[in-house]
Amino acid sequence: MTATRSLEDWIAFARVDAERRGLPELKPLLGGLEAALRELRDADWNDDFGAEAATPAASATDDASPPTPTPTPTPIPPTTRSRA
Amino acid sequence: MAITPDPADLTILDAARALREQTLTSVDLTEACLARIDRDAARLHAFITVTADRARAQAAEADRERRSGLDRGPLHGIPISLKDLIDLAGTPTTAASRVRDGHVAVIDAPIVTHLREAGAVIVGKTNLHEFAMGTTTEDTAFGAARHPLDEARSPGGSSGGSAIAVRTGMGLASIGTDTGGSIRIPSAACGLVGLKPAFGEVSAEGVVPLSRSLDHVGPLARSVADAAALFEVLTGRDGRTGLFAHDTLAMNARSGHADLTAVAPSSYFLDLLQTEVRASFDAALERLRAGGVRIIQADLPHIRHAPAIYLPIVVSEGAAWHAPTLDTMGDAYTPNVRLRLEMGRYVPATDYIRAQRGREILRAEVDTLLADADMLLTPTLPIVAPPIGAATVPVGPDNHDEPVRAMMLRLTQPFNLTGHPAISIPISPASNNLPIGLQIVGRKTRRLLRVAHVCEQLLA
Repeated sequence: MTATRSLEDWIAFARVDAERRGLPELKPLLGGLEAALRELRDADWNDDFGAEAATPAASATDDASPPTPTPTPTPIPPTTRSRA
Repeated sequence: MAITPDPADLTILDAARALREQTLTSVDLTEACLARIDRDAARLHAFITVTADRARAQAAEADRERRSGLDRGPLHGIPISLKDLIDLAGTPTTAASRVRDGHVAVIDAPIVTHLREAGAVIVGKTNLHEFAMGTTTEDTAFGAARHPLDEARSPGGSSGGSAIAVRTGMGLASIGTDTGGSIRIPSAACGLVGLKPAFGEVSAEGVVPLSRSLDHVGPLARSVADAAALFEVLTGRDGRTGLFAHDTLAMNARSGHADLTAVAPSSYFLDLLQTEVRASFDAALERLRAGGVRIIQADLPHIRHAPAIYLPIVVSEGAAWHAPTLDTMGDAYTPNVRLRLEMGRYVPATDYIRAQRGREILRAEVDTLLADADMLLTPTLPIVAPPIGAATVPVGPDNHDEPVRAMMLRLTQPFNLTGHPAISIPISPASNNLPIGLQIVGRKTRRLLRVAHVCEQLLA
């Protein structure tokens, strides 16, 4: 199992693993973890997450290449619920 | 006729003055605190280990040194306690867990060495939420801690035993740890001053970690000046140099002209408050404004993501440290703490990195907010001390239920993520007389302490 799989797959695996390890009480907590990880993956600062890996190898190792610009975060309206 | 206060109720600086003027001895002061421990500690589950004999010997030594002309500064001969995550040579560091059965610290944590060199008298080790993984001090192998003003309620946590000890005179201050608010939360819940210094400023060596990139060490005390005296010693500075001597900020405040600017963010920090907390916070802002503090509104664009950033970091860093004992003695943990640590094993590394990137965004946003202001003001806790055993609490204008843990961490955890120094000071309760705290966040800890000292005076 790798993190390139969907979050749903990952949490489903975690639930099965928790059951197998004799920790069924962990399963409800994994719902909270899933919500937090979903929020992180959807956050605007992670829009380019992994983009470096898609850069051609030559330019990725070329010292003369300009650095990848840092993304400017855009404001997000606040919510009214804590998800921790 | 003036009533002489019990010395156990003095602030550190008042006790230090009395010791210096030889109207009080450290032995008498320490005995007064030990008497409070005898009276209340077992009922409130405040202490895990009491080091009475050692404390008496340290107090006698402090008195001998004073008589010989040696003055080690404001902590000389002052009884204090340590959260039982901090190594004190020759005593167990239980972390409030059966997992640590049989452990005895071989050497003092560096902060304990600093405290000893400053002449502090250590009266014992206080109860906490097991391994600091919680906010109520209920999940502990040594009995759920009880609020000193209402024993059906939690004193907050994880440094709950420390807060009880300071509030009830079982020592004049305590040293705690703060990973998501564990100094500020119980300080606010019990009506104390609690300081989380800037990240890395106070050594966490010799302290059982929860999350190494979020852990902070700092004092719980009865005044900002006491917290400042402790902070100076904890950082290895000479505590004899008073932080507030000739402080122009304080002098201006006394004349009613505090020349300070505060940012009071509205969204997130005020979204989910109990009514009495909101009323008390608004009243505090009014009093600060009347004292000459300019208060402006501004927001942190990504602050709503703080809980989602915090969770994967704290549980995965915690799981990494606990992995060997989770495997071999999982049943020795309290069930809730075990499950939260186990959850950390299911955080993908890529998501941990995503969270760390979010942390950088938040840090930059707080820096920006504080670039033109002296402080950021928020309530410390959205709620008053919750009933022991409560899973949810009513919050917000519609009184809907939210999880206790999420609510208790909500307003403090952002500054563990950003590493900014933050302090909680008590403000006037609005209705039911349970304490309420004001959180003040700054750029640098010593400057924050001076600013908080002014706010404390304006709110007195």
